[in-house]
Amino acid sequence: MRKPLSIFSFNLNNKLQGRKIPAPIVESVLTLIFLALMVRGLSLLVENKQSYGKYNEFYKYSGEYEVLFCGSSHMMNAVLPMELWKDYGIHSYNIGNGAETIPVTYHVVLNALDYAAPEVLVMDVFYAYSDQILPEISKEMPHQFFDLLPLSENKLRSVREIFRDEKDRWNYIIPFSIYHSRWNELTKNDLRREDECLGGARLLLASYTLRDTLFDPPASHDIPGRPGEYIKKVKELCDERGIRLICVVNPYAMWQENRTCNVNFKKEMAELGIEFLDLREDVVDIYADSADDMHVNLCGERKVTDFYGRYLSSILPRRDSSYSSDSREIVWNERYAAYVQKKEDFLAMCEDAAPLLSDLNDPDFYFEISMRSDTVPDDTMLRMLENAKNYDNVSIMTDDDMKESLKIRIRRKDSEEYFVNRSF
Amino acid sequence: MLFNSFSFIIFFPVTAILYFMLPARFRYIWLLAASYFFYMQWNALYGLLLLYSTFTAYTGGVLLDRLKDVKPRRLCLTLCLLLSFAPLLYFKYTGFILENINGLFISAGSFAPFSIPDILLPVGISFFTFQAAGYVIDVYRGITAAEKNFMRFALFVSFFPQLVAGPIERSKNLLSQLDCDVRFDFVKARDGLWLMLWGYVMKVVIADRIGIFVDHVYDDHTVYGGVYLIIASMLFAMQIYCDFAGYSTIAIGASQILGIRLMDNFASPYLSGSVSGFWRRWHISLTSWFRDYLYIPLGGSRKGRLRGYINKLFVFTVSGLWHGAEWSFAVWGGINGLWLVLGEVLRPAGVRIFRFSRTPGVSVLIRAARCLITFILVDFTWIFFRAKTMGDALYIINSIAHAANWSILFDGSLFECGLDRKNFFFLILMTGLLLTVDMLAKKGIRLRTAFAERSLLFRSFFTAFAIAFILLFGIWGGTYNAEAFIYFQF
Repeated sequence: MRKPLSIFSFNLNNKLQGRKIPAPIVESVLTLIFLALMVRGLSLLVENKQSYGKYNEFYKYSGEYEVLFCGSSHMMNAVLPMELWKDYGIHSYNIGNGAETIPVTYHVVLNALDYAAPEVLVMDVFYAYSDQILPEISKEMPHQFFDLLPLSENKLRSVREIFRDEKDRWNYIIPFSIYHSRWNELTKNDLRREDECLGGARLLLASYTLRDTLFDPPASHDIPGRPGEYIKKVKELCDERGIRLICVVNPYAMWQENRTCNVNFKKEMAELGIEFLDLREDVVDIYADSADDMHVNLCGERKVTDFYGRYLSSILPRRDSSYSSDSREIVWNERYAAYVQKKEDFLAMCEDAAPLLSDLNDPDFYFEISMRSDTVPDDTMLRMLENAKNYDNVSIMTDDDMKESLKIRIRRKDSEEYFVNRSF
Repeated sequence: MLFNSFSFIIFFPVTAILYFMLPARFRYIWLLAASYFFYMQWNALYGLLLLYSTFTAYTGGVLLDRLKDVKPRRLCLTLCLLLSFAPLLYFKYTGFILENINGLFISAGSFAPFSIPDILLPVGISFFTFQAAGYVIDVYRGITAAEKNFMRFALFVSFFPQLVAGPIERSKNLLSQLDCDVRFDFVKARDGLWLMLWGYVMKVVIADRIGIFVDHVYDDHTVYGGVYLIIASMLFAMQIYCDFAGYSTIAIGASQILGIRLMDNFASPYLSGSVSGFWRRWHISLTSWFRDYLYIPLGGSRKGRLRGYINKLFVFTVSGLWHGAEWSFAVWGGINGLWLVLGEVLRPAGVRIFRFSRTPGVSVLIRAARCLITFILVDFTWIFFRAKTMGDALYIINSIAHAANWSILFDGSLFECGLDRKNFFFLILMTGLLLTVDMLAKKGIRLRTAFAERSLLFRSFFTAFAIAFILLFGIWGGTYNAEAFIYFQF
């Protein structure tokens, strides 16, 4: 006679005897149910929260996007969709991701278009110089996009094409296989999933001083075979769905420094019949607007976004000026409010002066900068402050009574309360 | 195909379900096909090697069955064993033999050494060669009747759960079960599943976690000296136990699900009070193979005490070389043989010393001390087993003997060798669990039996929990380069 465990007040064995359901079947089914619940719970606990944070909003509002921005970190760190909506009324999402080669971008687009139906696809082709499908060193990067992507035929196809190693493929099909080892680094933040509210972009509060040494510019060369093929594939994908494809190269400091990766984009794109924009010259002040040698900072992101806003406005159907009143726009307004809050949180966490100054052209905030007259900022900061003279949300004052050499106060435009009040 | 691979997780349930759906007369053919598929996942050509081994032993068995006179039978046995062991000698020992010949030539002044061929050792060759050879000897001795059905015999040699890392089964036990005329028994299958899960805990939760630390320290033993090496050597003793016993347990569990009972291969070896006791509980199928097919034919201990000691030393040295074609393995085996001989020589003195151990209270301490001493003696030999060369082993022993960096036990340095603090403490917890299970098993208490008597709800929850536990805490997937089971290389 089997005895039930005391914590369970009933004996399921006996109950089932009357119903003629074989106990082994019930036990097996119950085991599977328990297992599914446990694995699901554990998966949620240990999952890559960044992937959820960045891409959940893409799926949540996927039917609303008129423009998708895709490509490498050069896209992810260059376009601010929430500001594009605020300033130009364009609904967009930035699905760009770090170290994303052209073949991977093709697969990201292939899967993203299962959910979204944009009118325009803006694709960064910076990595067109690389003939690799995915460098070994970057093989974890596509997790950002693929982890949250539901299992589908296209996802399986993409994983099969991107990864040669079977273990890597399994890691992408079952992300738990890679994240379960996070059990020892869980924090309370892992108990909840949270949208980033940034429209897929990254806010780079940073500054970068261009290196003095300028290398000789290498001879320009053509786009290698493989990325060229994949750009064509993206073009075909867009043509099938009536999407306008615009390939772009966004600004970055190293271009200025040594003309790295001088791929002959213009010629190749013309041959492929693809609309091409090269933003490396003129759009940003690379001496003040760089976060590092490869990416622009938040100020630069805003300038790039503004460029796209103007360009896209000229090609997209004219929007009704009363767009802000319909129910969809109410949601976008709420999203924008959350976005501003995020920006505020990031600024409040900044401990250095230069990163704070990399957001001076932010129309949502008012910046008050006080300096002693004997303060000598470095060249980059000086350039940032120089540029800020054109912004009406920045006031720069000289105050020799200050003990510190520099003081930065930031408040929302509609508030008198400063959420940043730092001295340096 | 590794037991801890995605492929096996799909392969095994599919094999088992189809196995029970097929009529009994076709089942062994299905298992044979599955076994070859399983083995050929490593290299399709290995299938030919398996086939050769099967064919040699099968033919030998049939011929021995027909021959009646002693001389032809002996000749047939000798020929058959030579042919059976030839691939093992070639794949495993060619390099070792040539290296040693070269060493002799160089020391004798010769300048034309043999070039050492780069021969890849086929997975599990030592296991299935010994199993097939054991069968031929059994037929010769009349212990087993020769199997006439070639495919059934082929399944005996290639049965996938125990093909690549044992247990090395005896024909008497396994062949008779390969009629596969069994009904699916849910209770036995669940018990088999639980066995498999415990095997996975030993392998992927404990052994592979320890492996990270041990590899880190041993691979850089000139940097991590003294106490690091003491800890790593102690942990390696647990690693190799959990790795190998884990594999055996998974194999036994998987077979049980298919309705086939394999022999036990480990029985709480580290709870032994003597080295001879340890070897009765460690890799039982191999130890008993050497006992039955080498030690006893050599005369065992029947031809005098001295001859018995020499036989022991010889058998253990051969056993060492079975594990690897390196002198360090031979030394490992030889020292274990030496411990056994010393154990016998000192037994009378030991009996006098431990006479008072029958006093209540003292006996527990004495037993614990004996287990500890046995562990230290065995663990010392593991250094030769784990080190890449004899030179490394001697360096490590010297470093341990001069250990002075005891501060690493307290300053957190230990947690910078691949396992962070949480993983290290988790490992200690799991080792505690392992010892508890072993102690209970030694007392004849089986947790599985106790769990099986609980309610259906409890059993379901327990099974799911065990799987989820392994999935969460196991070293597998992305951040883990799935290590091969250590015993595959033999």
